[in-house]
Amino acid sequence: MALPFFPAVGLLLGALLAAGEWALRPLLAPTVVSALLVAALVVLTGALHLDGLVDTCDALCLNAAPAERLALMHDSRARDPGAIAACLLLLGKFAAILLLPETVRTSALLVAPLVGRWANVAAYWGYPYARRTPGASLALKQGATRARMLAATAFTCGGLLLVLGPAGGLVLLGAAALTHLVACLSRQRLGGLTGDVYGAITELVEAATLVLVPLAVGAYES
Amino acid sequence: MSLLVALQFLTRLPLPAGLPIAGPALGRALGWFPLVGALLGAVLAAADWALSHALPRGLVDVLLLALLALLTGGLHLDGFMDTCDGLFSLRSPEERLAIFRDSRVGSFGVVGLTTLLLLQWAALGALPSAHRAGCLIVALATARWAMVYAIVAFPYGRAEGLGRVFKDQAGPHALLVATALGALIAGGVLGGVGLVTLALAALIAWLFARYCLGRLPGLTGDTYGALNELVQTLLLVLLPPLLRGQGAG
Repeated sequence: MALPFFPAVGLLLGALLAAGEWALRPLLAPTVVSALLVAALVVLTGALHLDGLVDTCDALCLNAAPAERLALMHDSRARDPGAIAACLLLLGKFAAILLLPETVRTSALLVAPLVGRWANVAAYWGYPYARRTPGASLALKQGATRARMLAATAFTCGGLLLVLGPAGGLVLLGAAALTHLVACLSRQRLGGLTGDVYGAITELVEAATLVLVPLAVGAYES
Repeated sequence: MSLLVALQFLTRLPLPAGLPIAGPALGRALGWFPLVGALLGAVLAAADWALSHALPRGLVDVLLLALLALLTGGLHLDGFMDTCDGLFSLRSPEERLAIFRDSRVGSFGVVGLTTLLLLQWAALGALPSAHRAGCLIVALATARWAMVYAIVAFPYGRAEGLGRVFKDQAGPHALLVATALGALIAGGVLGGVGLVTLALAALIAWLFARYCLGRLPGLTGDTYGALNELVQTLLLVLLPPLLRGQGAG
């Protein structure tokens, strides 16, 4: 069962980002490195979660019954809300990486994908699923047991504690709050969560973590 | 009452009652558009002030763009994307109007949106710190005035539609009220430079409307939204040099 290993995959992605940043920093301008890291995350994940964000925004903004919103999520083409959200999220990640203070740059890049995948597991475990049709997400949802959630959380907490110390707790708290917010909105408008919503949560929490880490450590100059 | 109609149409602010978007109240609502813009600008300025205590400028600016999209429900950005899709496609005017109605985004819309948001973000970052609030209020108020000018002064392209309802109720009176209010806001907040932005907005609106009328039977609600985005963005770009010129002169 793959679910408890999601945070480990996140940590691997984070390690690739941090290594890329370390290797490219001496060669390229900071703006270029930041844009490349944003692109690397998209390519490495096959835009899996980004696609979820686009579909989720389109569906949540649709003025229709929950059933119609769920049907719209299967439409592979983007609408206006999804396009706006994707643009702003990518711009936000670019700005967040570019403006990471020197002291936390490596650690923030390392843990952002980790916390994003933890939020994914937490959303699978903690909230109802909106569909009954078989699919990869339903299979994952049925396997999201308490033990697996605990294993994923223990791994994430360990990673955060190692990299950030006690400030990691604040980061996880912020991630949990954002996950809860999106999940509540989704329950209200769709009657539950879907694979696309889990992806949207991963993207949003990953981007937020890039800001939460410097905030939790107090690294931004005031 | 008509101010509430304008607020309800232009924003997603939680308002007490669902007022009908119909009748003469709509014509009067147009007069209030600049004030709604100023209000949105003031909300952004307040968020800017609060967030700047915790986050660096570049991040605050992304959040302001997201906040504006949420406050307006993406209304004008939608119009901008549809307008890009319709105007840049090599089709007949009638087919272009049909493209406006398609709720999916085409390639031109994606290209236009990305370029627009990147430009808005860069422009926000270049605003002089002392005048950030003033620039936000004036740019948003003046952009909404430009829509009123376009609605009143240029022909409408459809037999029906949301824009049609406004067009039918829009008279010179609405434009007069909106212009007085817009001048009061822009001039009151930024002085002479504010009045210059109003003239610039009129020029941009005139050029854009001429361009649209060469490709469409008339303007539509989508092109009004596109005009709002264009004026807002260009004013944010032009305000810093204008303010510098005033400081030097």
